[in-house]
Amino acid sequence: MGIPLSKAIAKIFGNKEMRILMLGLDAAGKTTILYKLKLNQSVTTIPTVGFNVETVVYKNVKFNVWDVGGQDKIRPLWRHYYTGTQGLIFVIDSQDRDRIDEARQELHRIISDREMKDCLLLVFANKQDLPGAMTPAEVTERLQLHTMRERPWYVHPSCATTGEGLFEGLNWMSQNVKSK
Amino acid sequence: MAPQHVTTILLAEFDIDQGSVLTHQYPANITSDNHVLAELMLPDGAHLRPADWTIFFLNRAKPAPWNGNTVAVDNGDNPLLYVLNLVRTNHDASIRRGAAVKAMAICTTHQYLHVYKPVLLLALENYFKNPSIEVLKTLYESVNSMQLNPPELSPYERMILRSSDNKELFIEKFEAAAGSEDAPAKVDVAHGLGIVVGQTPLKVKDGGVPAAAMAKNRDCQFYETKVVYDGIKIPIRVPLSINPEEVGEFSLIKLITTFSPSSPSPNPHPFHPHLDSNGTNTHPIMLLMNALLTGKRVIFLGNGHPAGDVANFVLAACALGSGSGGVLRGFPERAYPYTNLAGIDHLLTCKGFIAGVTNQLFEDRTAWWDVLCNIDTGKITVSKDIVPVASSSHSSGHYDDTRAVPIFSNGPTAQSSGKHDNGDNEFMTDILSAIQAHYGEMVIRARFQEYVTRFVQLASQFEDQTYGQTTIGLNRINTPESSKYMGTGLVFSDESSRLKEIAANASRIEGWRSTTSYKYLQEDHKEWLATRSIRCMDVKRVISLLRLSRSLSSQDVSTLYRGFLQNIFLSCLPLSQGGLFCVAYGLFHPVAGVRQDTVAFFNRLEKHPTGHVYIRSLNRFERNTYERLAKETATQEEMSIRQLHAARLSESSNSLSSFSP
Repeated sequence: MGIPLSKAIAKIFGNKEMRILMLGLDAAGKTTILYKLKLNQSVTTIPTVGFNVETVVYKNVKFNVWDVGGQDKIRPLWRHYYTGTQGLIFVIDSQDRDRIDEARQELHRIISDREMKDCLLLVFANKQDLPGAMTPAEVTERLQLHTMRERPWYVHPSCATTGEGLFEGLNWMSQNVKSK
Repeated sequence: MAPQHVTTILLAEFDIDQGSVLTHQYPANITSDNHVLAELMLPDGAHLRPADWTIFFLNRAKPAPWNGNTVAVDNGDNPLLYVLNLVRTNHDASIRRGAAVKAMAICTTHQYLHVYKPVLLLALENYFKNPSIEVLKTLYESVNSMQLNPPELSPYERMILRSSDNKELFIEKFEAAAGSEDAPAKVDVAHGLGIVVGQTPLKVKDGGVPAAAMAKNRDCQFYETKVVYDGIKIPIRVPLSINPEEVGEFSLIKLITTFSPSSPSPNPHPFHPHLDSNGTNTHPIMLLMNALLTGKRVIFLGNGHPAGDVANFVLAACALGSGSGGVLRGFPERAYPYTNLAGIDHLLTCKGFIAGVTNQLFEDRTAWWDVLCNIDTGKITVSKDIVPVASSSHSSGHYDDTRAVPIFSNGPTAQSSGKHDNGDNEFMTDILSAIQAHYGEMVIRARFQEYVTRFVQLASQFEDQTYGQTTIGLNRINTPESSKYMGTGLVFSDESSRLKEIAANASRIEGWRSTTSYKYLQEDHKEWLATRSIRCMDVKRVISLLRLSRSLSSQDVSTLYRGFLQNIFLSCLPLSQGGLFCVAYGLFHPVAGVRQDTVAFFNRLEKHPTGHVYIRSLNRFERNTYERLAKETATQEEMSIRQLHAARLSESSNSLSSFSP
């Protein structure tokens, strides 16, 4: 079987396509991040029923970003999105200290899935503008990321409403993705 | 107990902390595992739009995890519950996270579930204002107090009604229905039809509504009634001539136009004997038809669309495969008009489903489906993971009743692609030009009903020829007398075209023979054979012989018309296709006996209320001829009676006279 033409061109000119899954507890700011990346606008969001999906092009990389609702009862559906995912963006509400352990459990459950074994992990320590927000180092520690040795991971501070930190995160993703 | 129109009212909401939850079930729980049900009621992307209508079915005979075991199937024969669901997103800055998403659903046993749209809209509005189970209770009581006494029509009568817009058809049944309300009730004359309003009972006026008044205003296709909800009278129009497998409000025309390419190109997928009945040039709609007939897993994808959009495509597909819901059964029971990832585990246990989804993820998961129809691009894709079929269709052939060995040894296998031409493409060209000429939905549905009817007849001939017998059609074994009346089965122009057509269809027929819809047809046919009223002839064959302007011998014609005299079959002669037109030729037949039999036949019809409508819809020329001949015959009869009397008189006078001295 030959390589489809578009993929061949992408190889020559360095165009990459990346499938990104964005997860996290409810109200962490996933949808706000998605539309800030897509539209460069801060939109007022309401809870996501199901999912949102958008394509974001940044530095010649086409990111297909899937943003899936994060409430407790709908988390079992996350697994259906794993196959084919190259990068996971896990979004943390840095002000929500009460639920950081819940977030850690969910994160470890996701990345222990066989389908996710080769995928990059980017953690946005979001809502840095809010008073008392955990620092990226604190988030790293609370999520026990240091125990993860086989996988490239990166924690970056962000503020979805202003867009600070978001493209730096994508940049890390695009530089670390294995070309297929 | 009053008939229960609606079994359950459901309420689900998107809890901002928990996610989709089923908040209320009234009057009783229909499920214990209510999470998937809540997911179906709150479709993907509900937060993106103010409202979305969805439909899904609960199969009580074959429970999915979410419709549970608590519901026993009552002795009614349809185990399906049809669920109409409305979800709304209300933006409200005063509440946490700025919006509330709630959904209410009506579970009904009626296939015309769309009639409940207005009342559901009002009830959900009320629930937003006052989130209490009382709202569900009021809705439940008001929809179940709806009076429903439609005229009772047999399947044949329904077929006659369906193909006609004649306002007088079955008026006697409407009158009877209106007159025989056993519960004392008020008859609303203003609406032209016996509409019964409950609550304050009044005496029925004797005889109901005058027939003339009824005929003037009524649309014979609908029974009109109403639901009173919250003090508002909501008119409900119950369709009378829908076929058993037509569910909801859908457009077959939209399905056809969406998936008919403006410039057809050869199908790129590897040849599949069940699907590619016309080789690489199989029309996409025919490919879909074949996928539905042979029980493939079919998905309609509307990426980012409201769930209601894909649901209507699924309902239309059920009609496509089942012959507008009138020929084959077993389609809605494997239909999932809207489903999502929450329902995927159950969906994948279903052998051949027809499902609607709005999540583009399904497109990549080629192991989940066989055929995917994308409603945005209008493209129908065959999965690269589809299970191939053994090229020799006969090795897998089986026959339920006997271990018959195929007697057609150099079998009609159609494996080489490219040279198939079974008439499908011509049929599709016809359909598309009919749509372009603005023929209505019912005309197009009728054409597909005919198409599937013909497919079944072909399959029956194929069985007869390949296995020596058939359990889905008429042959000389189950209808021995047919030899007198031109035999049984489809009419072909000659033997070679018969063989050619059977061969071109053999693969998909074999595919269909292993599906549930085939098994249902076997059951239905068995029952029909036992209860049919015309046992001596294959009426469909006889009529197509009359329609084809082929020369039949006078001998044959006179036997046929003799046969007609004893057998009436108006349902095979839809008014939309000329009604009695082809039979009326008998009025002009050179043989006097045929003319007389036609007249006698028409005289019999004239006495029946429906037959009367048929006679009146003959064209002027035919009617005049009939009336003239009828008069002549009557005069002749009178004459002969008179002569007989005269003869008797003279005889008696003779005998009298013989007494005289």
